[in-house]
Amino acid sequence: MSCEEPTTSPTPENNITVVSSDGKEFLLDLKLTEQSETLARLISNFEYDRTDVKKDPVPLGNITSAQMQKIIEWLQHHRYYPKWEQNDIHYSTSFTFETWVEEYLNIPNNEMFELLNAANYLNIPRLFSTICRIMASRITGKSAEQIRTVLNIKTDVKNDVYTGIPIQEDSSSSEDGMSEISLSPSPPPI
Amino acid sequence: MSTFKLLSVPFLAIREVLRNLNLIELLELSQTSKKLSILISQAAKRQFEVILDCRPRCLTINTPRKSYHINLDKKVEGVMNIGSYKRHTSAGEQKMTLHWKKHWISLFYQIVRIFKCRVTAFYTGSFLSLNEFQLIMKFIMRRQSEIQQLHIRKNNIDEKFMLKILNTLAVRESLFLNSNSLPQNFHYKYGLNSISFWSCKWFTLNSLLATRSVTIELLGSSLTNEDLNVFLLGWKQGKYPRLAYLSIGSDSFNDSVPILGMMPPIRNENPNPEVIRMSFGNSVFSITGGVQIRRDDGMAAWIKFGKDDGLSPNLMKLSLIVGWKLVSKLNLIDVISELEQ
Repeated sequence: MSCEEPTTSPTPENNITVVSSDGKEFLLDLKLTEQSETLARLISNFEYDRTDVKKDPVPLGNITSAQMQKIIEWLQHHRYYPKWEQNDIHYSTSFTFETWVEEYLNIPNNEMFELLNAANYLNIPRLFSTICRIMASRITGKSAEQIRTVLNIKTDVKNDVYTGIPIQEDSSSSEDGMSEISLSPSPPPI
Repeated sequence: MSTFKLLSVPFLAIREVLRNLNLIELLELSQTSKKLSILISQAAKRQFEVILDCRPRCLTINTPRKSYHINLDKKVEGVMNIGSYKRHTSAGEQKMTLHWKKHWISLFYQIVRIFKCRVTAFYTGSFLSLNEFQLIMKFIMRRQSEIQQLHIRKNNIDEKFMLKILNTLAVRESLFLNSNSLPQNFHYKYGLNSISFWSCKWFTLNSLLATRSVTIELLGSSLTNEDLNVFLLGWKQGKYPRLAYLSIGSDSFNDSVPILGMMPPIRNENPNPEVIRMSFGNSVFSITGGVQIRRDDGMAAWIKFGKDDGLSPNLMKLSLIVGWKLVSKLNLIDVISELEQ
């Protein structure tokens, strides 16, 4: 999908300033912030879309300037795309991406990881979903051993391959193991 | 290039990644670590259905849109062949493989647990050992209290275990049993569409009169000609409007007592007899050379009674197909039962 980008002249009235965790300021067109549910809600709550309201800089403590730069690039490219719709249950996966997206996400995995966390924090569903599809495309068609390598998964499953009848239920996915997992893991050190 | 630590991303992102993978890819992924298998289970929103059919050695997983047929015969060591089809069609859509090095029963466990599946049908087969059968039944009974179809054709099942199965699992649609391990005084209430019992000496006239099934198949029963008359007179009067197929084999049948006023053998002696055929569910039933009779309300049926033409020529057997005549092509007549109209 490609959209023509009409030229706009940014004015203070239709911009807000966001500040990254390392203190760098970015001037963001309000039109761009519509793609981020977090920013859109914030703007709506503080009525920053009104010209008579003073706009304080918005601190984004979880996002570095490098990540913010990358995100703005995404927002600019998708400025005139239709609003993102959540797929229904008949959603069919496609691992085909437009060339711009492939180039945009041709980045080291650690950067992709940071970008995913940033997309999650700012709630940019199109970016979030695209990164997740990229990750899924790296899993598809691979065996468990290959997936372990790609995703750097240290197995906690016993390696002994017993091909006889299981004496008892295999406990590898027992619900009892729930406590071992934190559902909101903290981001890894950057 | 550095690796991507999937387990370090927020659960929301993991769920989104998993949503983009098909069931077989998720099974591959579930083998990578215990944590991931739990996350897959947590992310699985819908409950799928599993059918374990040990006759052609096939494990079927039904999702709302697709059916995955896993061939349990490993042609290549450690690899299972899978065909995925759109639901309700037999057209092949996609061939896949799954790397699975463990026993196939472990795969069954994994599928049921990971995808929170209900086992809707379990059919035993000759390749299933008694030990494997018990393991699977215990697993199913621990997880659910009912099943749609249960077909147990195994011999030598312990009486206590068989009774435990029947007391624990409520069968909803069809129950097929090779029931030689059930006690003579066994009593079971049948509210099922289809029943098929072999070696069922315990099946009495009262059992038959209480049955409201659409298809009934009894082999090795102790029913007599007199019992048949009582039941068939009730059927003629319309007491069993759902009945579409009845087949009873019994050591106690004889050819000296008439059935519905007809002396045995009851059969169409035409040298080129008609084949009456009807289907219900996945089963097809037929009678060759039956005699047409009618219920009091006019509904037609074809009956045959006498020595069996099949594998047990000394066995006396009754067959009855009830229904509307649909198609008459050469000597093959398809009928449709009232229930399917």
